[in-house]
Amino acid sequence: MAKRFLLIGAAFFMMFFVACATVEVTVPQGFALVEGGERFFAVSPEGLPFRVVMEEHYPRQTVEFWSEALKRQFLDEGYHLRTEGEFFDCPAGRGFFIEWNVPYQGETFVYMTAVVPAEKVLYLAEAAAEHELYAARREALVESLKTITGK
Amino acid sequence: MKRLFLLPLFFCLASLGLFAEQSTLTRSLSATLLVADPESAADLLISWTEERKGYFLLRSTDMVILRFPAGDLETFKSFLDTQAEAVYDLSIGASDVSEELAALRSGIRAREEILAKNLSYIDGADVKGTLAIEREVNRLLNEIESMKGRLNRLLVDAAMARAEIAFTYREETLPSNIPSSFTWMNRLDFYDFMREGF
Repeated sequence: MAKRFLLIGAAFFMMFFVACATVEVTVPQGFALVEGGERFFAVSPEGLPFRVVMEEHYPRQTVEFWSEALKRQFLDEGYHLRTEGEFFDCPAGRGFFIEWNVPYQGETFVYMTAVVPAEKVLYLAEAAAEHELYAARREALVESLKTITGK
Repeated sequence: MKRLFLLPLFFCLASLGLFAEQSTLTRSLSATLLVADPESAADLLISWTEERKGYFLLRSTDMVILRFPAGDLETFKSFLDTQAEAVYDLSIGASDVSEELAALRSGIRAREEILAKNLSYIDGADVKGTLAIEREVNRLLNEIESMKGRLNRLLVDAAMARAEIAFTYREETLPSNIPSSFTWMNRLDFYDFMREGF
């Protein structure tokens, strides 16, 4: 009985922690900040969206584990690899991002997904744009990923 | 006198330089590319071809036919891999046309010799004979022209590879939602992201 209370308490604590925490990311160069706080959202002048959110880090695993799981899941869903992905370091920990080719509105779009496992939360980042636009903004996005942290 | 009119024509035909040594292998490639945007893919392939002094024979919404230097075939194959999400039904072929080239060259040479002989008879011929020789000369010239046309075509085929590229856009390859055992992973979806924004 006591164990159950402990588990429920821990779950509530995690939900409370994630709900109260904030994402801290440097706005990519040339982007406009749309939303900050519990989640981060920025947009380029051409409309390229960049979002960073937090999720509960459960089960706790390494970035290598999550990179493999993410790659496997997206390949199963039918996404096409654009790059094999890269690991990067940021204040929140070691992260991994990968880029996918996706057909969208008659064009090839690039969908970037990143995961940074911190102690209690996972930071998830997404960005997407038509491939030429994405290529032009890629460097700024990668630099921004390297600044992910939380409070 | 009549020979003076016909001789320059003969020398002109003989001096076209069609017998130079060249590769006798014709190369071809066909493939189907899975692309998100066939228009952009066609543009890229045609640009690549034109950069190498090649050209396109056909361009439609779902296909291009390209000609480019045969030596660039391997590079072209690698280029396809980088441009398409997937390459299906890739087929590379080569055929030796040396026998056909040799037959055409010897046929042209033989006709040119007969033509020269006919021209040598023309001065001593009467009106009826001259008319007969002219008919024969015309026939030979037509045959020589036709054979030289086929010879040129084969030489171009040997120098320039031919690539037939079809484009496909298959619905079943589009990403679909497959639930993951990890809850957070189910929140990542390109189409949701594009639809929802923030």
